[in-house]
Amino acid sequence: MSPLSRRRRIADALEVRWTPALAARTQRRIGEAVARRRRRRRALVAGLALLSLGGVSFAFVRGPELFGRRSPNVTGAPSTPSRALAAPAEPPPIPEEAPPATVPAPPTTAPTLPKRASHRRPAAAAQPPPSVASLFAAADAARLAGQPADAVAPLTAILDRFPGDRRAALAAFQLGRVLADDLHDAAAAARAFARAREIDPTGPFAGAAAARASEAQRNAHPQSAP
Amino acid sequence: MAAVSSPPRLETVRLVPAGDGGPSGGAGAPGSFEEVYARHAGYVAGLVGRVLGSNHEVPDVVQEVFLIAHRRLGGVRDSGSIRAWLGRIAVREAGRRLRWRRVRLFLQPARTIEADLVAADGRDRELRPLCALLYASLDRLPARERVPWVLRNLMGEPLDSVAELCGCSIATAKRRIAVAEQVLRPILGADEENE
Repeated sequence: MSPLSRRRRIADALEVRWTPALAARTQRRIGEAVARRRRRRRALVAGLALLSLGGVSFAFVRGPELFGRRSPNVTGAPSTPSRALAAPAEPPPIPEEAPPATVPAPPTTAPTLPKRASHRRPAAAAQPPPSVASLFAAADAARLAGQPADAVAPLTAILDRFPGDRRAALAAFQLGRVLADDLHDAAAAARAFARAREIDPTGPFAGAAAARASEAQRNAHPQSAP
Repeated sequence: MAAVSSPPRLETVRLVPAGDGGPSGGAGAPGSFEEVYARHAGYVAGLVGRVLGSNHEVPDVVQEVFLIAHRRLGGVRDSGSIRAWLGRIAVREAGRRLRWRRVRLFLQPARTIEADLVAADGRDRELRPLCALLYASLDRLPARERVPWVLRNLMGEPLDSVAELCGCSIATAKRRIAVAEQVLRPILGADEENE
């Protein structure tokens, strides 16, 4: 009878095959898997970075345009919302040449008022040039505010500054509508409708522009109508 | 009559208990991943092989264990605990394999799973049939009972070490070992050492 129990003999008889070659091969596979994982992680980080970069650049380029279209300025001035929001939060302007406490203060605060105005004027001048969307927004705001005459300038500005834009025909058509319906200037409206048709002869406004142009011409020259 | 030449003996690993001054290193930083692999890959392979009972799955599980270790090695501060930490990962991964094996066994009962038994071919080759029978019976046990039994009986781990490796209390480990023992006693006989 063996001095060792049967389970002890089995435990001693078990041998796991783990040769140096097998260990080296497994280590190589581990290294490959780690490298694969690193490559995947780098690709993921690069993708996320590109995505965030694209999002940020999109927000910078198109954000004000989209935001301006959603909430147009009522006064018609093409200003960005961030600027409009930031304006009330501005700290009260400190006079640049404020005298110390020992020096007697000026009798009135009147001299500070021109300084405030002169402080804001360069900020307004530093605004970016208006885009097509902001001009459209200004025109819409003026019309909604019941001042269609103020809508003429932004729409004309679109036609003058961005004649190649795909929305120029819409601007001309809109200008014609304002002139014909609100301002009752049939001759100018006929010119605006003709311009709309001329800019985009095959566009969605071409037919309506032609009809409105002939109607405006008829109104402008009622004696020439048949 | 021609003498039957015994097959060449494989280069194999034998387990070194944690307290025997094995290559576990002292306290301090665990070192680079290559050092950890060089020191402990044999231990992990031996543990995994004995738990699974087959040689052909060992490299895959060792790879999984060391991939996990590579990811989490930065969180280990004491090099003395690396061996136990790797043992816990190895037991968990081996248990996962065993659960999948039982699922496959359930779906295909006639399938022969064991292909490359960890039993020795040379000195104790008369024990190979018994080892095959033992692992076939172990395959019928759930992993949560099989692993503590293997750790206790085939690796000689003390109960507290078994409990630590399995992530359970000593009482739970004892209970699971006892359940497995009831199934395996007809094959192995009574445990004279523990009784």
